[in-house]
Order: sequence, then structure tokens, then C-alpha cells
Amino acid sequence: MDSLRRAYAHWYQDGLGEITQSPVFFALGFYYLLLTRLPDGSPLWIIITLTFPLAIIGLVLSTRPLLRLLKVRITAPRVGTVTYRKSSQSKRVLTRLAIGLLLGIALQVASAAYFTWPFDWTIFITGLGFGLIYVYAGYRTSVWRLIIFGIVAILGGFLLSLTGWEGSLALAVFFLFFASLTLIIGLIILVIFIRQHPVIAVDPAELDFTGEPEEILEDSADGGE
Amino acid sequence: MAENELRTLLEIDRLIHEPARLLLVNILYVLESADFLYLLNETGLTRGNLSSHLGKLEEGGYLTIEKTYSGKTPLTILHISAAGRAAYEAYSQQIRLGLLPETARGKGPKK
Repeated sequence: MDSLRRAYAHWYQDGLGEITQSPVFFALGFYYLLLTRLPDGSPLWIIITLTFPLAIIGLVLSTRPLLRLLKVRITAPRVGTVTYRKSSQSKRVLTRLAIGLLLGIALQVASAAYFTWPFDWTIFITGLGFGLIYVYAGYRTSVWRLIIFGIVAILGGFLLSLTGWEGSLALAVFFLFFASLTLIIGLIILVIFIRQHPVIAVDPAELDFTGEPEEILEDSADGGE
Repeated sequence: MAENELRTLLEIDRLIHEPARLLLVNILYVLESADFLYLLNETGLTRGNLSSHLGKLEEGGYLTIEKTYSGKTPLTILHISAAGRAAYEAYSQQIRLGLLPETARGKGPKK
């Protein structure tokens, strides 16, 4: 595994990513579950439908500082911390264009499929979308559990699409299942991580950057450095 | 392989060529920064040896060492410098030119 993959894998080794994502999935699951219970077009249904996007955006935005805080408290004292290099602006623009293009194609396929496929396309596309994101993240980082999450999401979306359940119920089951899965796996990974990595105190005052290192390579006969 | 390409091996940067320092530069090259503990875990070196190698690289102008705090916890953060990046790229190029056949040289270190 090269240095960059190892550095990316470092981010996922503690399970905190999954733990902080799971409330978002739970919120989505309960939202769709609530929709199945409310009559379409009722005042509560309208309020929830209109306010939910804002609530979910707020929840997503709040998970990032929470994740950083947990990383500082739990991960950094055990295995250290890294800052990743930002990709160039042109690369970021190209990536966004590629994602936009892929989403556009997916929407086109979904629209066409709506009229032709014999099953619920919404849940199928949702599972496929989530699955591909996880598979890609797993491939980038060589973290196998992310690839497994991706496969589970794709298979889950496909199987739920065949059940014949109405859209909201299938989505509720999908997100609640996925939330439980990420929370449980995240907690297991976190417990293993904490057990395997005790806190290590490194006081910069104790570090001597002026000492002579033990050279693995002996200097050459003519004096070396 | 041309003779002058082989001779590039004589000119490689010995500060980077030392395995422990090569590993350190290789790790820092792909990152914006890393702290001492991360490098300690990744390299498996002892604290004393790691800090000495980092000191050598700092002395050569290849990295900067920043001593700061995360809350109340002291933190030592290492950044590779532009000179360090350039030296690592030149080193990779020289090793490829000197050791690898033309067909297997690739483009350079992964950024």
C-alpha cells in the first residue's frame, strides 16, 4: 500500500466516520417512516417535507465538527494526525463536473426506468448511488469494510426494489438498516481501535532534533555526508 | 542503458538516500503535514532516532518542524518544504534513470 493510501486509511481506522454518519441515516430513515404514517398532503406532511431538507443539511454540516472533535480527543493521542494535501483547483472542477455528469446520466436512466422497469426504481437508484460512493471510498483507501458497505447498499437497494413496498417504506427500511449497520460496525471498530492503540504522550520538549541518528546505511568510504 | 544515466546514481542526494529519511520524506511528500506520533507509528523508528532523522532533514532545509498545541496537548507538526519536495522528485528521477529500463520508468512520484 503506498503512502497516500495509508494516509487515507488512517482517517478510517477508528470507526468514528461511520459513527458520526449514522445519525444522518437514522434521520433519513425516520423521516421516510414518518411519511408512510402521515396522509399525503396533510399539514404535518407538508411541514415535514418542506423543513426536512434544511434539517438534514444542518445535521450533515454538524457531523463534520463533531467528527473533528472526536478525532482530536480519541484518535490523535493514539496514532497521531495528518493533514491531507488539497487537490488543485482544476482537478476539483473536473471532479465536480464528472460527478454532475454521472448524476445527470443516473437521473436520465432513472426517469427512463420509471416507465419500463418492473420494480421500484427509487430505492434501486438510492442503493446504487450510496453503494458506488462507498465502493469508490474503499478503493481509494484500501479499507475493505467500505467496499462491503457499498456492496450491501447495492444489494439492499436491489432486494428492496423487488419487495413491492411503497417508495417511502422501502427507503425507510433501507436507511434504518444502513444506519444500524454503520453504527454497529463503527462502534466495534472503535472499541478494537482503542484496545489496540493506547494513548501515547509525546512532549515536544523531550524531543531532541539535534542528536545524531542511527544510520541504517553506513556512510561510504570517502566520508559520506 | 546509456553510461551518463548510470552515473546519475553517483549524484543522488545522500540526505534523502538514507532509508529512514527516505521513508520519512516519502510519507510527508503526499501530505500537507503530519505530526510526530503519526510518523512514529508509520515508520516504527524509536523516538530518539526519529527525532534525529527529522532534525537532519530540517537542517538540510527539507522540512519544517512546528511546535504547537492542540488544546492543552503539545503537538509537533512536520511539513515538507518546497526544497524537500524538489529534492525527493529529483531523487526519484535519478533512481529511475539509473536503475530502471526505459520502459519501466513511469512519470515520477505519486503526488
